[in-house]
Amino acid sequence: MNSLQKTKLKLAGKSLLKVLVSPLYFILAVFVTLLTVGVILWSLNVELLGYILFEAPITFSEKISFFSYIYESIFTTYSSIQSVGLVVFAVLSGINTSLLVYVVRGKGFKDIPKKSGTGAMIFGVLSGGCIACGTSLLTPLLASVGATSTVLLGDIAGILIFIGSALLFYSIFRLSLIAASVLAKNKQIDK
Amino acid sequence: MFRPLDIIGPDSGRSGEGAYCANEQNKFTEYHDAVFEYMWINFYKSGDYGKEFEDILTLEKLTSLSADAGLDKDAMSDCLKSGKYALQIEEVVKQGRTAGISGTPTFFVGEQKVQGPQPFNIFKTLIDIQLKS
Repeated sequence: MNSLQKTKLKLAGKSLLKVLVSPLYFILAVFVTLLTVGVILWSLNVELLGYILFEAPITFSEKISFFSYIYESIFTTYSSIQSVGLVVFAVLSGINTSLLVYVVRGKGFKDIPKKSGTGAMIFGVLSGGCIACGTSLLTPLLASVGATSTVLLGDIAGILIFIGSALLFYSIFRLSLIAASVLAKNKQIDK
Repeated sequence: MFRPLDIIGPDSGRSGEGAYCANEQNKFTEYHDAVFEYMWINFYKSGDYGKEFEDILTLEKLTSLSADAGLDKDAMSDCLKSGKYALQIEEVVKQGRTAGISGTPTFFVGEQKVQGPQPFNIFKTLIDIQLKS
């Protein structure tokens, strides 16, 4: 790693922290993290969720509780590697979204790293379906080669979540550098 | 009600047939737990998921596991060799496809389909709804 890359990394880290210490962006990151975990884990059972939200004869608070039950499964139902992978991906998604909002507010939509962010989300959703086991967006593809089971999908999910996280990490790095220029413009960071 | 879904590996169907054979001896639960525990302890626990594709649960292994779980070894062996539940397994796969099942585990609570190993409270809520209605 040369000195320019080191400087870029340092700058990205500084601007990332500057953005996240703002309560608004921190709360946004936490909210998106929780939402990402929920969406990934519920992606297997969208129909069931629809039934609970719109048809089931239970109270509103029971419906909210039902949605939140899925979080209990993160560290109990899945293997430790899957759980850690899912949490890392969700946290990175939260940070990425928070930075994205900051950059868009400061500079508009130009310069936003669309490819890495979109790619990460695709891998995230695919691996999410996998990580929750059983059936996923990958199922039709895997079923064509006769492969759909909890343990196998769990294994594939690990690879996908790793690729998705790597893409998100790159997206965060790029966004942080853009955020640095916004912060410099607002004189909130020393270049 | 439990249905063994033959979806992967050559031993998936055989172990599914074993489930029906064990049921003849009223020992399905013992058989089920023994087979899953064997795969978990020896392979999946250490992340060796590739064994899904191998023929691990041979006739000999299934009869041996069954005997350890308290089933009649000879009766189990004869039942598995006869292949009398092979058509039953095929029928379950067809029924599963019709019901939109393409992975394991899949559960039905009333008409609601639950995919994947979900937390206890999700099942409890669904069962409570069924009991209410």
